Amino acid sequence: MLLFLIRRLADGLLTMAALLTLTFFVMRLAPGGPFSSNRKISPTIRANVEAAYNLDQPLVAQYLRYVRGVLQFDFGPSFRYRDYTVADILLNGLPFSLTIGLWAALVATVTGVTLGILGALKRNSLLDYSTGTIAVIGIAIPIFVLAPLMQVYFAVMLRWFPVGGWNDGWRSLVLPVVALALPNIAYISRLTRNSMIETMRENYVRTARAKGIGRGRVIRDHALTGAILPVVAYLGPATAAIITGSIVIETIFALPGIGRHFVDAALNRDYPLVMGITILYGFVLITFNIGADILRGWLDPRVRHD
Amino acid sequence: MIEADLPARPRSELSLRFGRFRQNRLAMASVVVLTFIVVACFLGPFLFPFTGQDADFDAINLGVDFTSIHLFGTDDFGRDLLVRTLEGGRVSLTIGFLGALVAGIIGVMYGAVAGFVGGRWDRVMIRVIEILYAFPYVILVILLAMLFGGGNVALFLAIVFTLWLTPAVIVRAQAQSLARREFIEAARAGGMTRRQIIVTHIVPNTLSTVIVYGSLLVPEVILSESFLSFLGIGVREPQASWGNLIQAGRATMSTDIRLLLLPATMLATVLFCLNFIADGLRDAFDPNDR
Amino acid sequence: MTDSLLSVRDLSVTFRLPEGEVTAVDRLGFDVAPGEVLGIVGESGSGKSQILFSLMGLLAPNGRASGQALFAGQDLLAMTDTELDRVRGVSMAMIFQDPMTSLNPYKRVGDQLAEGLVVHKGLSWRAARAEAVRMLDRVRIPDAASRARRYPHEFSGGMRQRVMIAMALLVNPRLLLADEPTTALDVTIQSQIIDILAELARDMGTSIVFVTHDLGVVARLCDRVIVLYGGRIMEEAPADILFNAPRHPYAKGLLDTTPRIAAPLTRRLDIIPGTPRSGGAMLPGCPFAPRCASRIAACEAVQPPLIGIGPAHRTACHLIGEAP
Repeated sequence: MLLFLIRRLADGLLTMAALLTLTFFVMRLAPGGPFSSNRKISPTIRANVEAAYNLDQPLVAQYLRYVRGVLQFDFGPSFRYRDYTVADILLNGLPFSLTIGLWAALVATVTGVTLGILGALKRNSLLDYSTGTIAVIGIAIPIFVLAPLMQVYFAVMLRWFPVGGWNDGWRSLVLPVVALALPNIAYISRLTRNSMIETMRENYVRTARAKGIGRGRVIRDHALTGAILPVVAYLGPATAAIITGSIVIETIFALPGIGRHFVDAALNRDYPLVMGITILYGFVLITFNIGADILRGWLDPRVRHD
Repeated sequence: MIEADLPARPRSELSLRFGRFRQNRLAMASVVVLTFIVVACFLGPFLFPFTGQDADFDAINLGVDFTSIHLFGTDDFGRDLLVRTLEGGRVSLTIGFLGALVAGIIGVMYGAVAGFVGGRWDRVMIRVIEILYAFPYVILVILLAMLFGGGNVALFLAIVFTLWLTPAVIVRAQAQSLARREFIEAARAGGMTRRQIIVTHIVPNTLSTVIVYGSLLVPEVILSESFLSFLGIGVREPQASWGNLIQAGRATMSTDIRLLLLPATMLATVLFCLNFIADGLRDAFDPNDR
Repeated sequence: MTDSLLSVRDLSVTFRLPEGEVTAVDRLGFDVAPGEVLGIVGESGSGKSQILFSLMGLLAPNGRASGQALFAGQDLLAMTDTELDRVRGVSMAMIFQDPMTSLNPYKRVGDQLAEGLVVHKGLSWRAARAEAVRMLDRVRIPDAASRARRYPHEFSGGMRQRVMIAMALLVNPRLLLADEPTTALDVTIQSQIIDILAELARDMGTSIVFVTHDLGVVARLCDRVIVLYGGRIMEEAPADILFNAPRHPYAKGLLDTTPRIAAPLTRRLDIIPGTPRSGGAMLPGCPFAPRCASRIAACEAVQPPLIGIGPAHRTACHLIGEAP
């Protein structure tokens, strides 16, 4: 298990390093950016910019300096918001993004797995069909269509929740979290249903039934682990989906999270901020991937003994 | 066992599987609806005496009126909503199908080479894919769209650049198992070059898988395009795409939901159809489900 | 036959398939006495495994069993799943064909064994685990105490089958159903498994229904043998009688296909011509008729009844008359 952990962590670090390097050089090469030399700006501004980003130094030195900064959570000053550093902006946005992101992940996993298992155990029941329908809708209708419609219905017409913002306590959370969770609920419930049906056909589940330990125990103690493993493997991609979704959701619901900053930064060509957020997202994604692998190793002895 | 080691004959196998696909009613209905939408998007706008970019300031914010020339009304510049939506569909669908095709071709070739050649080359090639996978997909698209300088071409390149990964991984796995099969061995012994083997044996034999996953790529590309256009990073005004029409519709949705609903319905319908078609193709083609 | 432990009458097993209803087992009847080892022999597709599955309530969802199977006076086929759970894993246990996939890969072997004791006998996990280790030791798993804390993938095929045997016998069942437990194993391992099984069954007084296509195994282990073909009994006899003087043409053919070490090496195997008939088309006559070398006209038209031709010896063939 220890060896398995070490190997996974080393893998993650390697990917993280590659991500950092790639982001840095892509940004330096981007045309029309603050780092490109053919931009027409006044000499004083240029001198300021060059000093702020150490552009007068060789590229490798700049790179090493940037890496050292990142390791200390220092991404340099923002290009657009002159008074703030990128780190300030990230720290300001993080609570909002983490709150809706983690809630959405929790809601999606719990609901998705529950619906999937119930659907598999009561195949072709009303519940199974309605879950299937929700899954198709959730997968096919993009959240930037679903979220505005939810706003119109639940906020404008029914007035249950605010249209956007962060001023109504838990009520401001409901619509963004549900909108963010929905596509993942759809996907996870379908994934769980299929793997549960397959697991119930496994020989070892038949062995468990032959032991006469009761249907509840057969499902809980024997079928569940196998059925849940594909869902655990999906946790990495699900994190990516939630990060992506949060970009739209924060824009639609006017939440000052990181995703919203990312869109603004991309539109304003605020390169240091874009780099900072990309690296942060990459870090979150890699962390969750490692977490998912560890969870998989914990559930499946064959993975950790590999 | 003897049969299993014969090279698959793509042609007869394909027609058999398409036959099975045709029996799937939901998928076939989706094909019909999708064809209708595609035809409407590409030919529909010519039926009207104006384009989606012609502002008619005498007819601003008209409502739905099937007796007038503006069937679904106009926006606040007096531009016809239906025509704009159809024109937007033209952009979205073109990027969708073309993007999936190009990403698919790149992915298949990359995966076939990596899987068949193997060894050190394969390790390097798969490492590249793993690193690119570490970026959240849309983040990568946004980065690349910035790198390529914005605009439709940049958007297209960015989407293609990120979406070839999955077909590459899948084809690589298939090519690896094919490379160990006897008919490949025979081809090698018969003096075929690697390139010939890849083109004449490996690629055709992965065709079933590629069709299944390729059909899933199309909705993904359309979704990414409208996602980015929605955020203002992709297709920009005054040119219409479903993404930026939905974004524009959102501004007025609390008073007039029509501007949101028409492009949203079109997009959702197309995505539904493409998903059902992909499902149908998977049922008909999936080698694991024979 | 009031002293039977298991008494099966008119057992039929059918499956619903897209092509229609298929009969795997056709109106079968047999008895198992306490402490007796009964072998059921047949080629693959003869329906022999489905007999066991139907008794355990483990048929695939599209399968259905009818008839009667009295086990200690209670009809297994009439029981609900909950009622069956008071019998299976308690007084009736089963060993499966494929030891590689029949153990839960995510649970420690010792816990998988102990589970049954915890549920059925109300033992604490601690006591149940200790009991499990003792049983693993009895099936001759070396270093049982530490092996019990390991996972199935750390065991070889033969070891896993010993674990399966330990799991089945741990609850001290009165009847053990064994579904080709040695088929997936190496020949050398096979005989070890058979020895363990025979020894334990004798010690514990357990009856066994042993399903196999391996006549060598039957000869070593079984008191009585049923030869099955196309879901029907062809011949039923005490093992020594069947091996020395088989009567039914199919039983004769079957015995001829078994290689004997004593036989000259030049002698080729007498393979029964033709392939086993699929269970789908239930013809009116004897299921073996299409492959039978000595068939007469009646064979394809009328199903021969199972008749007694000696003490505990029955066969179903038009060519063999009733015992006087």
